[in-house]
Amino acid sequence: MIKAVFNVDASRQSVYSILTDYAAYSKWIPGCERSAILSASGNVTDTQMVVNSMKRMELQLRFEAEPVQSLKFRMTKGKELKGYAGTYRLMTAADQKGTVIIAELEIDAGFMAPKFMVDRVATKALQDTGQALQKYLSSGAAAKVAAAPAKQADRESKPRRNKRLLQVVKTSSGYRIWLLGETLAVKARGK
Amino acid sequence: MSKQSASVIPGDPALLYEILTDYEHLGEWMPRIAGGKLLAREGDLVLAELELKGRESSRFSMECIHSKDKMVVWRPIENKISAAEVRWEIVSTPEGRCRVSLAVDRRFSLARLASFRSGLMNPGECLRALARQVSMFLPDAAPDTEGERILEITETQQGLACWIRGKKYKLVPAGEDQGG
Repeated sequence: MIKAVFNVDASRQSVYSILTDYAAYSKWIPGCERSAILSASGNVTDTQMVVNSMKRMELQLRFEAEPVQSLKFRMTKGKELKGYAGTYRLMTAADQKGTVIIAELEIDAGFMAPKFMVDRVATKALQDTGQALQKYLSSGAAAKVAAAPAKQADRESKPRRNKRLLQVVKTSSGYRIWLLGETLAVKARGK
Repeated sequence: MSKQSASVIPGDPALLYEILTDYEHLGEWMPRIAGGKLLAREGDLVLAELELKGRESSRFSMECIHSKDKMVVWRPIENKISAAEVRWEIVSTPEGRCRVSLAVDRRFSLARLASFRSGLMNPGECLRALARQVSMFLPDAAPDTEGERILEITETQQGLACWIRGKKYKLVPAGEDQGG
């Protein structure tokens, strides 16, 4: 399982809307040549995609969405791969402006390619998807998607405690210096 | 493979928990960490980004699970980091101290054996660093019971304060003071 985190400058609702606009995947996902919805029921959508990455592949993916929280997908049909599954989890960024996406992707190529090579491809695919999403959002596509104000995350804003950095104490034998949690002794000459 | 260590540290669990979950300031004390940033927070789940000292492409994200005043778990998300899980557990003792245990589980990789001895993976070193950091927030931690206090510098909510022989002064960054 390959994981990656990307931070995009858009509300969670905007990001969710783009990720669940499956028919528009070919507009922004690198290598996605065609994307079409086969059927949809509630938050479950079956799609058909043509992806041209290392190899041209036709696969059917089932998406299960948890509104504005996460999106799971897995391959339901495909000749070239044994398995293709992943998740996008959305969190409101700490600055309350953007969205943080935790992406997971697992590709099982069977005997077609060794795992380390497949993982490398999956890592690159996730990175490229993150960059493409940011680019697509900045291109104005996000503006066309109905954007709801970001949900306020519960922030812990506690006052910071006083922190002692330095203390110099003169003692009978010299100086005792306490610096950032460590104590150093400086003896007076002749003592 | 796991490596662990434990230590008794003066201070209350709330202070220790606060330090361990203050990702913006983790770089101040955590060995090998240059800086940190809070990416997102939802309840007890936090997403933070840390930067390692002296390495190229050294930023990595981690999922952090908090159990208030008891436990903090860090799980690096990207596989490039040798630690799979870092688990801090805090148990208060009757003497007003805490027994802190730190367990580091690492991912197995021949290529990463060299980094096993690094600060990030060394629980003993991390606990000593934590103890030093905790002592900075404890008024009684500095050994000032005997002798004359000559100089003291403290970081407060309002900025840096300096005491010279008992008289308090405000420290202002150069350029922000009226004199320029």
